[in-house]
Amino acid sequence: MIWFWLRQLDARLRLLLPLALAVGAVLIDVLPLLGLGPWGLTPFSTLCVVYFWSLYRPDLFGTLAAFATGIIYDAVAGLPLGLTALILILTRRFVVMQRRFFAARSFLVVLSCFLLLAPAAAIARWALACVWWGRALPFQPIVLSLLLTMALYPVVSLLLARVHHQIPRLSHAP
Amino acid sequence: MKPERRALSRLTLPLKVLADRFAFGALVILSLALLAVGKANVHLLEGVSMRISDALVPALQTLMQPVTASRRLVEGVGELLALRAENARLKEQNLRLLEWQGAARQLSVENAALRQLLKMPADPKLPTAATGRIVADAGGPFVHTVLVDVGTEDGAARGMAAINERGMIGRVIEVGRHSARVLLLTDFNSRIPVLVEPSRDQAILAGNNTRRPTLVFLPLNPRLAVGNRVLTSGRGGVLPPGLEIGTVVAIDDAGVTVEPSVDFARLEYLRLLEYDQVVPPEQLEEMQREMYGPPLPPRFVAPDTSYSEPLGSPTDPPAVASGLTP
Repeated sequence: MIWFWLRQLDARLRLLLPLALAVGAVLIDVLPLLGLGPWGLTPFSTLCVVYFWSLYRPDLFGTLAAFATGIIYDAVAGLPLGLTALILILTRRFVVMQRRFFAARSFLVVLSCFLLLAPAAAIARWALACVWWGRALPFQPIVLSLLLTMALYPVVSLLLARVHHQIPRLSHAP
Repeated sequence: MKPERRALSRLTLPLKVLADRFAFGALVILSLALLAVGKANVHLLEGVSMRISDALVPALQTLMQPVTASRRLVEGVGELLALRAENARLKEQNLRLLEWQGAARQLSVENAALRQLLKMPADPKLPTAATGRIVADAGGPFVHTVLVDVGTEDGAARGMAAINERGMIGRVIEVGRHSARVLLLTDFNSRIPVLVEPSRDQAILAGNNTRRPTLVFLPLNPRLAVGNRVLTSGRGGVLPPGLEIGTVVAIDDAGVTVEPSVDFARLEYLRLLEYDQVVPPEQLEEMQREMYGPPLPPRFVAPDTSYSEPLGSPTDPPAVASGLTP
């Protein structure tokens, strides 16, 4: 009996993995890994994670999860609350709307779409930040951060794909 | 069992899609509302941010352990490789420092004597309120802040100067129970009153989100040169005077550029300084009102007649001066 409950608990916890990994990505993004955070040399790996789960498991990574991830990012990074949250829920929405296009496509197509989406998300975030602070922020760090994010996607995708296989598929998934 | 489930999911699926669409609209509006509220009153959402940061500090501290260990390993290997050259450099530096030590001792004695002569109080000591470790540094390309793992419970407070062994890093702008956010000198919101040595020209050090902040509000005909030291001036009474900031590295049409003494790429620990801020009289009155409530209205106090001073007491007021005697 106890094994049955433990298995149930295990299955439930696995369903929380997408959100937990998105929060993990936030923590890794804000860690002073190279000590170069203020100079823009930090990848925005959270965007990679949100893109991946929105594409492959939108049933487990809902709009609320994307919003919560963004709010946590904003709070820890000292950004205005709502800035990253807005970008992440828009990203999720866009990816979910285009799921039919992505269905059964190769990794190269998925990667190409990310390479198009990431600059759009970065520019939108930068523009929103400029409006919020009422001044033009330097653009060069955004470009550096963006290049690092785009380079990171294949690695993040590879790691998340392994986790993806460990998550049970729900029968009522859309 | 399975067909029943399928039928149920067929029923609930449109509801789920509808709920998702509603959630999307509601959360977009909520995000925009949060941005608007944060813009209208910066401190309103500060508590929320710091509570989330407080909750995540233990996780960040744990994640920092391997990061710190690997960084030290890399630094250790680099130091080993450069040991011979470093040794020669240190020997040369040691000779120069010994000369300076003699001069400093002489000046210190002279300074103490002059202070005594002028009856000038000694420089106030700047005790460390807390020493914290940097656990997050990513405002990314937008803001230059770091999150440290000390908060109000460790003695941190808003406005404290953050320094390390090389000089000033920034000042505390938000503080939670277990975490505090430090605004770096380089952030475009940072404005610090400074003076330039040896001319002692006063200016404001303004961050611009690049590695090198600039000096603004300089006096007319400033006497500056490349290589001059920049220190905090203590003007405004918010930051202690004399904290090392950096060196003037360029003077051109773009302005006066300062290279901070602190290496922001190698920040690991920082000290928060306790400093009694100088409060202007008008603010002092306001602070007293906050602490003790509004002042009592003036009222007539009847003289206490139950006690009479003995005759000829030195406290007797002169009759003419009091004007009370008929």
